[in-house]
Amino acid sequence: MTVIEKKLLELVKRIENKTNSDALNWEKTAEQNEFQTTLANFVVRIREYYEYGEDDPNYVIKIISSDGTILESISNADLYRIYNQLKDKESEQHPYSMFVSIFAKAKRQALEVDKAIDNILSELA
Amino acid sequence: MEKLEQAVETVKSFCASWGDTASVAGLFVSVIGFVLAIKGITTAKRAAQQAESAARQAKDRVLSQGTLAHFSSAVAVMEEIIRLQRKKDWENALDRHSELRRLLVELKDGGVGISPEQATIIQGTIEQFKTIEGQIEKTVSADKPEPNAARINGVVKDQIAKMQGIAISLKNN
Repeated sequence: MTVIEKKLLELVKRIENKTNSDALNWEKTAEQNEFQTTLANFVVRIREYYEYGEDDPNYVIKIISSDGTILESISNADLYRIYNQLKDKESEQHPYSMFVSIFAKAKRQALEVDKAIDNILSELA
Repeated sequence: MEKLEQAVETVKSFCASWGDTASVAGLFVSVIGFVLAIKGITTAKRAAQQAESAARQAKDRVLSQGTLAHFSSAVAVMEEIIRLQRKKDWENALDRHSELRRLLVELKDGGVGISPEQATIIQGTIEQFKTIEGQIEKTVSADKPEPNAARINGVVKDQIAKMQGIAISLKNN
């Protein structure tokens, strides 16, 4: 495994941790299945998309620099290739589940789903 | 002739008796003069520094007002974009998007007092508008389905709030 591959794996892990602890402020974009946040002078985007004939969605995270250049695109397939090179795979979280977790949490935060549910619950109380 | 010699003698004796006193007085005058000269130089230097600082502050104020004016223009263009998109006037909306991108890039790269964090937020806004522009471009040039005006206007409104937030923080600094 190359140094950059290790770093990319670590990056996705950290994005997941930060997202789960609400440390990132995800917002909606004009694309229905894409959300973005800003992180250390970079814009980070996650997108869910479907390949033709596939039932399960795929995900891609893009790192965009302050001048608008896409520095890196990491898909669940890319991360799976990196994950497969790990010796101790069992101790690591599966890459696909990391992407699912980041996307679900980003979507809930950007669309303020928790707030909507709280409002509905208070109406139902 | 004798009178003249007497007068010279009188002057000589006067000078002999007062010479030392005059030397000491002369020294005092020189020291005081030197001190006054130094003080004058220091005062002039301080005045020049104050003038320079005032000029710099005035320049910064003018530039910062320019930055705030740019924020106001950007927000005004965003509000116009909302109106055009609501009316589904995509071609005119595209023109406004180009103008907005120019304003946002100028703010990000040349805005006075913009912190790196604020520059990143502006870059985030640029990315958001890039996506909206891409959707409109597809509709206009490739005859693709129209974007969801309510959805993209929701994104634009969020960006207006962000730009206003930065403008207010700059104004308060």
